[in-house]
Amino acid sequence: MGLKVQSHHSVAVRLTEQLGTKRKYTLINRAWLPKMLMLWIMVVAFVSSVFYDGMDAENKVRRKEVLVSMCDQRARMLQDQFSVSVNHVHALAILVSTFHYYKIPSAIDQETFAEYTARTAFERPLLSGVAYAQRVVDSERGEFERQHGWTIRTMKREPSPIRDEYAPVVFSQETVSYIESLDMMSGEEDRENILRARATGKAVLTSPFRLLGSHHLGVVLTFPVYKIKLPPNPSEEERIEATAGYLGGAFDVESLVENLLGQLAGNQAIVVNVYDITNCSDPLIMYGRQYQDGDMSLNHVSMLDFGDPFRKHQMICRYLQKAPIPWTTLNTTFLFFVIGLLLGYILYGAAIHIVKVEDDFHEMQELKFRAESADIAKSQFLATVSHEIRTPMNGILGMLALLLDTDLSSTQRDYAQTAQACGKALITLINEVLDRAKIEAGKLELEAVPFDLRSILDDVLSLFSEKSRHKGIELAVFVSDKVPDIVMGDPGRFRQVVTNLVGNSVKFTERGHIFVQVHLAEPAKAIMDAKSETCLNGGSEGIVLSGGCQFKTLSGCEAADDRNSWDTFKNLIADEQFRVDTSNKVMITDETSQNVTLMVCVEDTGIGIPLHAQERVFTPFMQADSSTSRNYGGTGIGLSISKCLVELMGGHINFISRPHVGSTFSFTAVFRRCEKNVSGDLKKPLSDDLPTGFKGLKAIVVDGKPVRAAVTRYHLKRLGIVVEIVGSIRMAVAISGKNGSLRSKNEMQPDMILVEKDSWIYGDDSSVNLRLLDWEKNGHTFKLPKMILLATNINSAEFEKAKAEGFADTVIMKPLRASMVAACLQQVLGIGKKTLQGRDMLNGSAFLRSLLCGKKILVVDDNQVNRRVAAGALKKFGADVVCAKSGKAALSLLQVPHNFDACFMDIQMPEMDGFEATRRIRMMESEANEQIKGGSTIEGISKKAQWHVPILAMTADVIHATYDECLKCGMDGYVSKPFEEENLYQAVAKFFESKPILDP
Amino acid sequence: MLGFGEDRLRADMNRLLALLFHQGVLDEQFLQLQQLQDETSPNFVSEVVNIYFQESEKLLRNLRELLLDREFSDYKKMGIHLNQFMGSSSSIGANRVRNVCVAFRAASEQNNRPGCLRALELLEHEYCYLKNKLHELFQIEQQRVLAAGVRYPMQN
Repeated sequence: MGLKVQSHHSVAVRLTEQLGTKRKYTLINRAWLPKMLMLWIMVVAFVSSVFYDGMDAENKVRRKEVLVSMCDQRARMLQDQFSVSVNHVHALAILVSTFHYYKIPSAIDQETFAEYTARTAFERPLLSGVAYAQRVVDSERGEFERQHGWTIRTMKREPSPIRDEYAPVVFSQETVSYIESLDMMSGEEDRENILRARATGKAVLTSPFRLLGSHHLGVVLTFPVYKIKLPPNPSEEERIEATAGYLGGAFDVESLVENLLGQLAGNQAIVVNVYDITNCSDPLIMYGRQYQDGDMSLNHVSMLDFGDPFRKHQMICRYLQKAPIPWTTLNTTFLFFVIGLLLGYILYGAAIHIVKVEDDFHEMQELKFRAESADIAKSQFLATVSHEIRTPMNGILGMLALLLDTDLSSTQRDYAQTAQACGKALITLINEVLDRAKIEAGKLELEAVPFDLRSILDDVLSLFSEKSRHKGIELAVFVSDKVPDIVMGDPGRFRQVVTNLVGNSVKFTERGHIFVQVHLAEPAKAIMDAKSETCLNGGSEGIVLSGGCQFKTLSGCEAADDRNSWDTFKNLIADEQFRVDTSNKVMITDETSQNVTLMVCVEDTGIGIPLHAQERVFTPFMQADSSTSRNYGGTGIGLSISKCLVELMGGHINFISRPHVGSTFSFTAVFRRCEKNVSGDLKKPLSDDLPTGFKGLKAIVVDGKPVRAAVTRYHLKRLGIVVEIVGSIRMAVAISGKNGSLRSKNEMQPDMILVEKDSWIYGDDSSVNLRLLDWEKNGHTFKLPKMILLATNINSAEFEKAKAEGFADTVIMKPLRASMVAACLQQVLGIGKKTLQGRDMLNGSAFLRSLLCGKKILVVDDNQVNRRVAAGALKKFGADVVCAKSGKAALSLLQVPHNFDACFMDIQMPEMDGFEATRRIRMMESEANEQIKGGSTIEGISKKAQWHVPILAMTADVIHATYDECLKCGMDGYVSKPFEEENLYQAVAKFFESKPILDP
Repeated sequence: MLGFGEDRLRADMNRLLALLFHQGVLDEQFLQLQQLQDETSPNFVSEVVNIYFQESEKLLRNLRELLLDREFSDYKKMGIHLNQFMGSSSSIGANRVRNVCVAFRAASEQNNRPGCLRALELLEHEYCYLKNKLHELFQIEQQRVLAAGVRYPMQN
């Protein structure tokens, strides 16, 4: 029990180990999942922010571009308009110099100037007004004032103090007429302007200041007017010298720019500032509000060139409003983020799901393992328990056997026998359960030993012969000729399957037949497929037919699988014969393959399996229905075991069944071919030898039913008898008669005629007639063919009738078995009076007694106990036993001449073991035999042809190697130790059966 | 009265046998042995068993000597003894003794001295048990025969 516990423990350990290894293979690390999700979200956020930045930057660039283009456009326009005005002022300056100075007298006066300028004012939209100031040096002031009738005044409208020079306005446009007579040199900016202008000869600008008259910011433009035409590239002095006066105009920059911007689109969107940046550190504002407003983040600076190289101006534009929040970008990005988030979550969810599924899977796996181990444990338990039950059951049965040996009253005996029968049934059941459990636990292993299939089938048939006879069922076996004599496989298990199927059939069949067929799978299948019409399982038309019609099956009853009827069977046999006879090639190709697949069919005409139960026939412990076990008994485990066994043998089992018609179970099994040379050696011990004395005999089988006739022929053929089949007795008579008359040709002369009982009773031939015919022929023939009746069951009246009508010779009771047929024929034909294989004739114990009675037997064993037991056993059967303690003692006892009939030799002995002793004995014997041949006869033994004392090994380990060793050193057989009746009988029968004949 | 005694003794014997079978001390071979006993050899079983006891005691003694010889244990010789013990045990159907012998032999084949010692102890124990039980059995048998013998004249 400790062992078992340990094994369970080890199972559990293995289980956990397996689980442990399984655990490692997880797809996803669950601890990382939330981190992965967080990381994913961060990545998505980052990506979307990058995305947003990208889109926003693009927006900004576009915005900047717009600003730049707007700003540049404004600046250019401003510059253009400005230069247009400057040009016009320039033209005006030239006009003044031309008409005021070059013309003498001057063609321009205030009136003309005012009118002209007023009328050309549209040309100078930027200038609020123009005026001309004459250059007056101090020396000329008096004259000038006089000439014009006003004094030169400063900007503050006061009479000008004395200076070197003055620049009083002489002509002015009406719009600025208030500056007439004002000395331009008195204003700081104007003075500077004037000086610069006359030095450069170009238009110069003042820095912006509040204009007189209006409060707008403005600049003053000053052009010099020269008295004389200047030479090219004049020097500064020359310019100053030539200067006659100055033309000036005030630019109202503020309104100018205002106008300008007003004309342009998108005016209100941007803020424009214009600066004078001549002094870099202190830009002076020319336009725009001093305090900054608008979008400070973005501005654009455009340089302005107003034609004065000394002054620098610039325009700064910025958006009035801050950049609007980019909703589209924001939305897109947000959407992107959300999608990313969702995606991440989906992945996370999937991963979580996978993890969950994995967990479930592991759980399930664990449960599965647990269930499986529970199942194994169950099977093991079942096996153990069955085994444990068997042990005490053996005790019980043994005790019951003991009890039955004692003096019991009839009632007690009945009780005890009942108990024993029950016990045996229980043991059978337990064995079945054990088998089942073993198969489930995978503990069952098939042997691979050579065995004779036919003799096994015969054995199985013999098991059921009593029952079938009792029920009046035909029981028959047919093995195709192509099936090898010896195949390698597990005979026990094969027998078990067939026994089970046949047993079932016998159990459920009340009339008709049970027919076991064995064919090679391939041709049988091919033919059956070719023939197979749609065969309905349990079709109802069969029931209608089964009333009167005779089917061409074994007994004439309908079978479930009508493919097995004579039509197919005929083909199978014909095919075989054809193959055997003609095409050796085919055979060779068959031989080459190592395996041989056999198909075994067990056909019955029983109650069939109800349709609803057909699918669970092979399920363990399920019978067709619960009433089955009530009516017929049984556990319903047999078929499932059979199925398992068949599958272990590499085959399949299936069945066709029609209720009330019958069932046909067929299974295939794969066996190994047995090499020829091996089979030659092994054939002897494997198959119980059929007597060979019938070789060449001829028989006529009279049977109206071809299938049954084929079965009969099969058995006779195994005995070497040539068989002819005829349909009726009349035909048989005709054949034998013909042969009789044409005897000279030495054709078929039947030695026997086997008549099926049906043909005899129901046949139209008159048996009396037959007898007379026979008598008639008797004169011509040497020998009357023996008349043999074949019958499944026969009552005494029929028997008498048969006897009276010519079947005096014998009646062979079915089921036919080769050995039994042989026995009957021997009896009839009187071939060799030697005893047949005793199993059929006598029961072992009595037979043993008859074999051993009076024989002198030497038992050689070093073990005193064994010696005593063996001697006791042999004595019980009437043998005269002498014991020897060792091999040496045996040698001395077996010195030729001696009168021992056999020797039982222990193998394991000190000093000289059984093998060695046997070898020496054989050596001794051969020497003696040589001497006999040489003529020197030893007294008293001359009648013995050869010295050969049968030596049987006694051994505890019954393995083949030992057996081979036994044969090698000259032993004749072996018996297992301790003695068993059956075993002893088998070993002894082999060489004692021939003894009476050779040694009278 | 005496007849009843015989029946009871027979029942006792059978009970004892059943117990031994159930315990696995004996197996079917013992039954076979009993079957060999008949009128011609009325004491066959006890005769064989007595031989068995003598032999076994010799063997056990030898085994113990071999094992107690500290310097040198002749495992080969031990194996021969064990084989003999096993053979005779299986002949009389002493199942458990035989099984212990098998284990013993396995241990001796591996030169496993502690295992051998343990096995020897077990073997001696089993042997004693068997011996006691069989003695008991034979005692009952003897009584039964005596009882039966007393009955005969009454019947006659």
